[in-house]
Amino acid sequence: MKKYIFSKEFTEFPGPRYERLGPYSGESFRKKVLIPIIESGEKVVIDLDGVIGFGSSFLEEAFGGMVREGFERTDVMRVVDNIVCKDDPSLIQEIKNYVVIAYKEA
Amino acid sequence: MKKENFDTIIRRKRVVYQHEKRKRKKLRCIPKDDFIKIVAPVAIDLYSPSNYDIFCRFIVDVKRALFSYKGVYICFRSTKKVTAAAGIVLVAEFDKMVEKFGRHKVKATLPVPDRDKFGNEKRTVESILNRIGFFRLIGKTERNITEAADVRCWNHITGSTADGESAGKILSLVQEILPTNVRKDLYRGSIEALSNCVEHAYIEHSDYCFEDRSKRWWMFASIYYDRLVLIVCDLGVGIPNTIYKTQNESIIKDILDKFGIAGSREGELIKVATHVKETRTKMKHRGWGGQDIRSPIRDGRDANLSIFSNKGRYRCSNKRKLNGDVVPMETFYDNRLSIGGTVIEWSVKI
Repeated sequence: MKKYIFSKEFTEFPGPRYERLGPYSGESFRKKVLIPIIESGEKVVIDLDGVIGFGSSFLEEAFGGMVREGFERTDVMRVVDNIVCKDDPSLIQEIKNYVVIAYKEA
Repeated sequence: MKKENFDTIIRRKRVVYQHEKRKRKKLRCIPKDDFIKIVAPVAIDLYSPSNYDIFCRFIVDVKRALFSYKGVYICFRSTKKVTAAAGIVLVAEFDKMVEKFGRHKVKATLPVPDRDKFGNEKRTVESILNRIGFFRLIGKTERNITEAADVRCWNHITGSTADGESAGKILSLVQEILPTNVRKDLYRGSIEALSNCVEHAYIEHSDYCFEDRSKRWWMFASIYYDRLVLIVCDLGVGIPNTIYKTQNESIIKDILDKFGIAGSREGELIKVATHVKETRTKMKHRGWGGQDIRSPIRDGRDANLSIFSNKGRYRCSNKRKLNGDVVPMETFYDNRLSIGGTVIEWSVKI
């Protein structure tokens, strides 16, 4: 299974929600990383360790944004279920909450 | 009222009026093509309401003088104290003034050193002004002085995008002494504050037409005794001026009703903003930012959140009762004058 190390391959300093607000945004992560993973159909482990922290806006736009883009629930959950974060395990539940809320509001 | 008391009052008012009249006459005598001296406050501070008013008036006086005279000469000889929030606002305001009017229009005299109980010179105020980059900003050469020990950990940075790397680098300087969860929450709060500044603070609205469209923020971190202080400042329109333009009025009313407050004061509106779920765009998936701003003070930590926005002041901290329970304590009020922007400060025990 492929592994995507967020801190090395994207940034140690996640930014804001939208690309227009600043670098390394949630929108940018979704477009450049998450959507290609979904479209490839591969199982990829996303490792969120080694990052200084995440804003809730970043996480919601990156993961909740996949729902608003119209991807199937099974595809989105395939990505979310393969997230690992030993530094802060509560992040995984937080991300799942954003996805669930995004589906409720869709 | 007795006649002699009435006469005393009238006499006192006449003395004050004549003093003010002489002052205005003196100002009119200063040629418009000359520098005007403006004395900086004894305490450059926002935390005490009286110091807050004096500092705000000082900033207004400097701005007015820059429009009317050849330049300003800031005299720091009486200044004895500079606190964190006021220091960053000072740098932010002068940064903007220098950008608008030019460095050549602002000059400054150095503060007079204090003496400790052994008679040794202490240049604390000059150290602080050097550390926050004030003299560098106005083009004044910094003197090679022994930096005061409690100023060595002051760091500041500025930018105009929500740049996580800037926030992260400032926090990295204190990484070893902060627990990981506290550092993550401070980062979360600060990146949210920077995002709000870039997205909301400088809204392009006909009421707030700035010639200078840069969406600048200033960030500051310091270690003061056993506390880490992190501040994000902007010179935007302020939370009280955006909340009703950007939020659904029914949501604001629900929050006001929940806390039993009227919403007539700016401090109250700041409190509402930290609890609102929907933000400017009124999209339901937005609005998690209020939680992020509050995250460094969660879990009963020995931490404070303080927000100044225009006239409003909001403060939230955790108080430990005698029985060991931790309860959040909030205060909010309005000052008489506006700082013309927003300052968000977190203070965490380390």
